[in-house]
Amino acid sequence: MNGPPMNGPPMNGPPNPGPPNPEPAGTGPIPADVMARYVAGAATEAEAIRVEQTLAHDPLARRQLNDAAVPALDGDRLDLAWFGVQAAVDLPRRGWLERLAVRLGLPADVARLMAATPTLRRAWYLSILGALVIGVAAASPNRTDGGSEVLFLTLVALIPIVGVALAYGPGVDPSHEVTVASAMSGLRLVLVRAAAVLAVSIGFGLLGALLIQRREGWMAVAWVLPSFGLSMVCLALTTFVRPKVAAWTVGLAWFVVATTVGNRALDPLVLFRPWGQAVLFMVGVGALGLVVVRRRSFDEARAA
Amino acid sequence: MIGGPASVRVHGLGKRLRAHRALADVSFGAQGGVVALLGPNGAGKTTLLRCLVTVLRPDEGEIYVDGLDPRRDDDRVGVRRRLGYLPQRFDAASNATLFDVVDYLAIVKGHGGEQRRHAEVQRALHLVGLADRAHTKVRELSGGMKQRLGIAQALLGDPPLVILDEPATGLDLEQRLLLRDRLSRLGERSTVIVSTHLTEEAAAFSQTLHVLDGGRIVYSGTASGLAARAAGRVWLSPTPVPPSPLIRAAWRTPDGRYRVVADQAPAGSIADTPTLEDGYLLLVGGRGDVGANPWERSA
Repeated sequence: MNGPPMNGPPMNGPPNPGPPNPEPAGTGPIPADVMARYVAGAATEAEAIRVEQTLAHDPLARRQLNDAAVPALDGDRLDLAWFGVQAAVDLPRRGWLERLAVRLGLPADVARLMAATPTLRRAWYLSILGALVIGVAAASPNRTDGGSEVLFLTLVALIPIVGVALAYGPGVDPSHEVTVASAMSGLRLVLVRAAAVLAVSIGFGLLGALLIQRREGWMAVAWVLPSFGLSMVCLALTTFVRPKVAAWTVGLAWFVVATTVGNRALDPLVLFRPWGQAVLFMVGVGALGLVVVRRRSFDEARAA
Repeated sequence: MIGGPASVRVHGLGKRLRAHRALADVSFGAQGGVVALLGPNGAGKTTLLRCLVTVLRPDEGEIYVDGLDPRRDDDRVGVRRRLGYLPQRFDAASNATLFDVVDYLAIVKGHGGEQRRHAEVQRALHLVGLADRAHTKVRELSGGMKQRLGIAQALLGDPPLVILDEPATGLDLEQRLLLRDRLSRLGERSTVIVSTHLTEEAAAFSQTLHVLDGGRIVYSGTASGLAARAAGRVWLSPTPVPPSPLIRAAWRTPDGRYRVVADQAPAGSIADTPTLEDGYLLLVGGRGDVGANPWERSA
């Protein structure tokens, strides 16, 4: 119903003068079969030149062209043109995230894929803010043993994990089954959505970090690389188990590790020091590799 | 659109879902027209359709769509490019508009060029009578409208293969008639495979029926052929008939008599003209556990 691509005569602009005409122009009406071939885009070069030169000075030939061209624009093509006009006139305003993504240089279709991420809804934003409030409140300025920073960093690093786990999959995305059955690679869609969630989470996290007093400035971003690593581990785990199970598993494991390793190492912030961050980042890179290896799992339906 | 109607060949398909054998030795073919898969709940229709749309991997057998084998990664993408699919439970983000939902799915399906894609989205919504509500939020839709939205996205780009799982669910009579009309037209240029558990819908959708029961195809042919199978096995009895292994189904009719689909005439009964439903019940009806009064049986 989409019709063939437009390959008919040029409808705008002056006729193409082209090379010298082998036949004299304006030697009577254009034969119907020649005009039909011209309208269909199947005329020979000589025929096209003859038609265009005749059109330039002969009103009858222009009417002949009009009569031949109108039936060639079948109903489907006219419909599609009309629907295009309707869509253009009624095009809704894009959401702020989509506008921002386009402004940052992303293609419009990728921006729309990001904006359609199920996680990026009001409930998600509210839950991020809730987690930050808890984290900021927990980071009491009266504590000087580093425990407040550990708690804050641990909680903030968890936010993207939940977002990534809830960005794709059955039970989260209402149109998941149609998405899986589409030609787009499931891995591409997962990564686009995970990137969107990570970007928004990191933005919120930095905002929260600025709200609390830090003994050292770098602590405001010390959770970013660990958070990336954990998100990728979570994503890798979703290739084996349901996203919610993956998020719970990684989240609980992270909470236990982050709150106990520091104590045993006599440095509560060990996981957020440069070496700790580097290790967690490398774990994330490894997990991303596993995601790529197991990408087929994103192209098949799984239970919610 | 890729070529004309897709050619679909299914051979010896088998699929287990945990311990349950959902499909066993299913074979059929189609190219152009509308094919209806008819069967009771749990017969394997949805599993078969999910294998066809490549979201489930069969355990046994083969599927070819235009000669493409979905077991191969490249071919699977090719099959998906040919597909329009309405899953059994279609839903969409409640805060999105209808246009946004279909536009998003058009992107996922690879419809390039923003202007052309938007025109196609508008056309798909028009096909199901939702063009004037393009900017309504999904949460404001009735169940029937949501189903039409699902059908709209399945029709994006005139796919050569359209697979619809229970498309009539939630539609009122007028909408069902519109759906029949659309499917009939669609079958002229695409291969349409549609599942239903309603005999009258199956007959209205298609001239070719495949009846599934227990994961197997138990009948392939026309609606009239299925009705003819019940010839000489449909009876009207003035009194309730006792349960028997020979009785496939029995129910009380509005005139107080009992319509019985059975291999043998119950005592005192007279033969009646078979319908499509009778033929269907003969295939998938109770195996002798159907009593004279199903309400009593279920009580």
